[in-house]
Amino acid sequence: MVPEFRSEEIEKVLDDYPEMDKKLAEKIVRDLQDVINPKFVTRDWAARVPYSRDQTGGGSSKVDEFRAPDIVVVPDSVYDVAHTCQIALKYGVPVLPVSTGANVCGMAVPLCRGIMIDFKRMNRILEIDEDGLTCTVEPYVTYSRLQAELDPRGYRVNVPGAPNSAAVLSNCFFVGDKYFSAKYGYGPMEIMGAEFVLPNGKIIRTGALAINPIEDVPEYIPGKHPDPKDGPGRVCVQAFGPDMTGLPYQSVGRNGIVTKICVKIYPLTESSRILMYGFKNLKNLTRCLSEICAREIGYGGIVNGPMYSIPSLTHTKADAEKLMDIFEHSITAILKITKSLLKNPILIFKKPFREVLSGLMGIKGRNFSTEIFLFGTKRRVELDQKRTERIMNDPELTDEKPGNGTGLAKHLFWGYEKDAKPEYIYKIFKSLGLKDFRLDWLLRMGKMWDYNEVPTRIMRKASGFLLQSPRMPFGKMHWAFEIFLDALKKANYPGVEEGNWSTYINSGSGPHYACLEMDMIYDPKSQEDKDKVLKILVDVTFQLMQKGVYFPHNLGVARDFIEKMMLPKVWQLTKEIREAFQATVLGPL
Amino acid sequence: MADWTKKFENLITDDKILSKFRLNKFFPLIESKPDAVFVPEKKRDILKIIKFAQKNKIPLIPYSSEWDFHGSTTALKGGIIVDLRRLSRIEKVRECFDGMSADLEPGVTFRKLNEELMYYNLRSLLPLRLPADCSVLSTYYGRNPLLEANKYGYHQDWMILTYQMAISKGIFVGMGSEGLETGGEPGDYPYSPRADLGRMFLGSIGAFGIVSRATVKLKYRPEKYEFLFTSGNNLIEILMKLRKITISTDAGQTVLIADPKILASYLAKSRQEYSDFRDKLADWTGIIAIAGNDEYIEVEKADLLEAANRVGLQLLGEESYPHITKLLRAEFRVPENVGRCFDFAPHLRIEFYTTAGKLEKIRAIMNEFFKSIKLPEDNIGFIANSLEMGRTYFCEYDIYYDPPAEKIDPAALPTIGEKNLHDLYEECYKTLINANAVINVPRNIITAQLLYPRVPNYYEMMRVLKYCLDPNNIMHPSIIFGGQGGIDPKTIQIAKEVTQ
Amino acid sequence: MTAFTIDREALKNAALSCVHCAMCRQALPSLTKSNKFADTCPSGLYFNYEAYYAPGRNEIARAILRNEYPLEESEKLKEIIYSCTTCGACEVNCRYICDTNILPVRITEKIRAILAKMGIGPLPNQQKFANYVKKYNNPYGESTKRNSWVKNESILDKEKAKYFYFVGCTTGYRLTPVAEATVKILDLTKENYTVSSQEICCGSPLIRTGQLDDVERLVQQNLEVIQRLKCKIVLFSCAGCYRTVTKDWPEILGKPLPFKTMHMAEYLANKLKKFKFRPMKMKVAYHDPCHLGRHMFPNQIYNEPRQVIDRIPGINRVVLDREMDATLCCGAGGGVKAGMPDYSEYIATLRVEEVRAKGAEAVITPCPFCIRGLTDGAKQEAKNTGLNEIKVMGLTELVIKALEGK
Repeated sequence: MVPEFRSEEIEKVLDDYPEMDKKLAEKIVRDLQDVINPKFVTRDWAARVPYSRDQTGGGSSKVDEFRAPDIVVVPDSVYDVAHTCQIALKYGVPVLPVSTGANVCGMAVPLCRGIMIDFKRMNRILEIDEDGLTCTVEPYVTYSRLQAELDPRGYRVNVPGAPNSAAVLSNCFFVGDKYFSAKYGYGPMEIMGAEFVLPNGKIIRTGALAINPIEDVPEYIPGKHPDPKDGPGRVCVQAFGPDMTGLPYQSVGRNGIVTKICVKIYPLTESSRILMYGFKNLKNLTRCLSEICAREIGYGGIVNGPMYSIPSLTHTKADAEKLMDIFEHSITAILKITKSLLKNPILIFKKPFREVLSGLMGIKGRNFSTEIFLFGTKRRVELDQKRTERIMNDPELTDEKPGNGTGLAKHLFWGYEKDAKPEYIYKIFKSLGLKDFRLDWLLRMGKMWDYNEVPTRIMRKASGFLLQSPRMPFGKMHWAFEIFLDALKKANYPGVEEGNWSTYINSGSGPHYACLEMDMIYDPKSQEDKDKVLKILVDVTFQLMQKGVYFPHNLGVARDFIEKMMLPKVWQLTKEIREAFQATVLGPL
Repeated sequence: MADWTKKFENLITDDKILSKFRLNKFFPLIESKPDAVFVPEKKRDILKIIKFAQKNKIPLIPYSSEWDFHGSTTALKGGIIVDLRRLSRIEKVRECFDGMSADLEPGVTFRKLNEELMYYNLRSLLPLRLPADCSVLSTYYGRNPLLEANKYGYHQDWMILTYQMAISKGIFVGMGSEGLETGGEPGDYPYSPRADLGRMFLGSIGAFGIVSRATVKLKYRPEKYEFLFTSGNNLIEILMKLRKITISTDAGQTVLIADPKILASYLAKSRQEYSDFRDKLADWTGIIAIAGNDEYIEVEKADLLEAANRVGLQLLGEESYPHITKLLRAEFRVPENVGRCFDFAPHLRIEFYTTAGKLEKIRAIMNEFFKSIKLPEDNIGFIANSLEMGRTYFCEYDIYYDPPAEKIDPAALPTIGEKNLHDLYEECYKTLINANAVINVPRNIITAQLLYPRVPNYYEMMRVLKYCLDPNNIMHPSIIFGGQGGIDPKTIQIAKEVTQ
Repeated sequence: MTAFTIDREALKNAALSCVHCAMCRQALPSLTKSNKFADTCPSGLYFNYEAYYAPGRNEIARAILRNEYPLEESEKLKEIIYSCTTCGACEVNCRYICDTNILPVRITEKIRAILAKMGIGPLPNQQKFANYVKKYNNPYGESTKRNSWVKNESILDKEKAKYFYFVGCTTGYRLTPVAEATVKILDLTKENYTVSSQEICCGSPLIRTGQLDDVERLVQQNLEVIQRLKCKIVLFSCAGCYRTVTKDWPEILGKPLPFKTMHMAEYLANKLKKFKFRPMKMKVAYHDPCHLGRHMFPNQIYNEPRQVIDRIPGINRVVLDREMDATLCCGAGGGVKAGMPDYSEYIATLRVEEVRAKGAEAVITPCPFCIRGLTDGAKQEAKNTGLNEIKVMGLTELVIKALEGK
């Protein structure tokens, strides 16, 4: 029996958190300013309002409710954060930190109001340690900035499916999935140590940072910066005994506010290749992908659901629609391509042109595409490509012959192969009639898997974005996906046919578990609109939960309700632990 | 005998049986003082004994195999040993598409599991220098490093996907997706919402609760292992070169460098064989293990040899070390000698982690220390094992002592150099910690007491957690917290020492 | 409905369309592989609160349009809204992500107009230049005759010339060397051109600060002057005037312009073959003015000025971490230089630091406003570092120097 979703009931909880009394707010501001630079503490509404929305809207179920924090603090150091926590605890006021605020799905909106900690000033890359292969950064360091620092040194971090504007720290602590999760695991497996502030203001350092903390430095200067080897080095162990790094996980700052993170870095490899395949049947695809992960081929791969990858290739809705039409209807595609060939007959003799064309034909008309990441030595990449092809054509794994889109992938992700020629994709797409397709924009996809600029483009197609991302074995993906699709159709969700929804599958760690992201792109104009879309998500969540599918993070206020219903014992135990650390004061919901 | 022993059915108080738990030949430094032994037949029995212990405030010490090299099952405060060896069911094996994992009870050994998994062409990853008869769960849960750590890294924590733990309230709580109570079979997702309880409890060696079931990761069984060797007289030079080649090729399941003493103990089946190996082996032998089918091994081998050539390291094939290869092949499938060697080459293991750049300094300090107490070089063995392509190294000093005529008595430990074993063990760790070596889990009271004073806030936080989970301090009180138990958070003041 | 009528509902929807993807706070990684020089939002860089970044301003716009808070209760509101240099760095990323109706700078400019109507904005100094424009037709309050720097009177108000050189207020009153260099170049290329004594402010400072009352008059009056002289091409040495005339005027007029517009950078690139440069040993950086680049999307002028510089023998042009679409504003745009001089100088200093980091001794830019901003930044940077001041030079000035071999 699926419980009925009643947003009013959940929303009632929020009534307990009215706006703070002005006099109290003034008093807290003064107390905060005792330690923190007064310029960076404010209760001015114009400075508070910006925190009232993120990519899912106002965070609550009400379409026009935007809750702002009562006070904003922009700390410069862990000590500023510790002081804020002490003052918050003294007055019993909630605290919510935000780093970049990107890709957080309502988690960075202060529904209980209170004090907002904006980490914009804590944006330093503190250390790059080539001995222990780690780097240590502050909360506001984004993936793009860290990659920019690492790339010239021959290293990379494991980049998430989140946009490059996401912060390294919050993505890892929110158990973000990464492109190379199949090999290296989810965010937590990247974390080698952390520094965080408990609700009582105590500073805790764990793992590789436990006994060799990094002093706050204005910027990282190799050679001048103290060498981690002079201390215990950044050792990849969880220390000491039980690893307390687990407390702030997925709590979005509610159990403790993380101020530094030490994550793994990986050497760049000699060679790389991105393979692409198109499947009609999801089960066939997940079976093959799980086998690829289990066989430890390359760095694993990801799956894009219908409509997901195509809009991200284009820049305007009109172009996306045109391209989707071509992809779905073979005859149109063949006609258009033939026509373009007639215009430029010489193209047929060019190898890149043939490769792009065969790649396009490979994924055309297929519902799902997968990208497989091969990195390593030249020999290994060659071998892994052979192994992948064997799996993709193994009748015991798939009863359809997948289309091979590797030719397209080669020239699209041109940063990964030496002889790639992205301009051929441009030529072909232009000849297919795409109007707003620009070469400079296409070129920016070249290093997609290191500098991920694309996923926000999907969010932006129709202004809103909601998602649920349950975790399950690959074997459950196809029917979980069917339940999602059924719910969309039953609820008569606007835009089902136009593809205002999508899926994304990423292995979490080898073949052991994976994430099925179910995205809904929406633009709520009324409460009715918003209720409709939330209902679909909650219905799908409950239906899947009852079949043993696990939802580790849920949206907004509904979070507590879902967790209590889904995992009563864990919920109770976590609550007791949170209470012991007074975390329920810092983050009541 | 304590009065309470009669109040609970099936408590074993027979002195003959208890004496087996009093003395540990692998860790003879501290005498254990259990009052009784309880052997659960079903998982539910664990809850029963917890409720009983809670009522009578009796310590509970979980025990899952006899191979305790570090004294983690030592009962200092008395209490009941909960011997989990009979809980040895392999509850489920899932193949690739369903998550490639197995649900195990705590008494399942690597030997048993891997025998079962052969039918599926799967395997579990073995630990480093632990025999096949170790409990899979407590090895993973206790965060012992893996044999194939060069490839799989410090994954031992992550080898457990989800688990079920009996806590002092007398209930089972599932971690990650194991906590799902909505029906249906949950997948194996390790992370709980709002806090990663799994990560917070792993490594607590029973101080937070007793693990009653866990789902562990499985891998495909490689068709074969092949080995490459190098040797020389400069440990750091070999280590740095091996690190370079593994980083550049991303190849090799295992990369280890050992001196003749440790390598001999790893390979020999008898005292005689042990002595022979010791005499024949070079100062340092580096070993790279490759695993897979022929085409895969061929590629990794070619990559490694090419890279070795670039850095000027001579890598030799199996043909140069045929005898060692044969022994290693067996040990990589079913490790036996690592336990057997205690009979003819007894030793204490001093374990630590460090980085490549740090090792030379640590070894210099330790050598100084060994000299200062006149410890003969013959009594010291050393091994460095690469984790994740040389990101970190797991190292061990073995302190060898002569096989005792009878059982070693903790009250009368032999003296080597100027120190008796207990003092030597403690001072080795003290020196190591001062030299900035890292200890991940203090597996006994000696290491715990050396380590935690260095991180007071961290220790206090753990004690708050301990209080929350086990307010009466009955769950293995003598480990981690050294009998101190938890702290009631209400007694902690808001931090005042924090100033800018 | 005129171009300045604000559809509050549409504006609110545009503001609410921002999904806070945060891509607008830093240059896209494909445009710069820099960590140190990755930030591109000047006000965010200086003030640090979310409110000073585009997504923050979008939410404030929403709150204003929905009357969520009493405006007078905020002390920071004015500073937040008027600290945007309207450089468009955020818009580049926003537009790249998807076709969108957000375009944060547009929203900010419209909110400025709303605040100005309510008497809340603009900042005092900005108000001053609106008054000056009303009175003197230029924002500097100069009462002297327009373009009195012209020595050769025959070029003044000439009819039927091919080129109408629209000098602009900043060049005409504050940076006459740029204007003189431009005229020299036109003379050298024997071009038929004219300079008008009747030209007035193009409206840019008023549009950027939301003071729209007088703008239509300025446009109409200027248009009459140009049409009266029957010129086919209007030539600019100022990026701000070029952008306003090319982009804003047609919107205000509701019809295409009756003439072509061209910036000197384009002109120079077209005539490169006619120039004989003498060698100049110099390591320079090129600074893209926002009004010539991002504001001109999809016809950004990026390559032309670079072609000109690279043509000069001996010149070594270094590539900055933030260039073209990812360029960092000089800090002088959007009325900020007049309204918040300290902050403006801070941003200019950051830009000069970037130039210094690449080892250049001079920075070239084809915009008088950027020249003014960067010159102040260079002074400050030299003071901070104790090193020789980085030279700031107009593109036309550089060309003249190279031609004259000075």
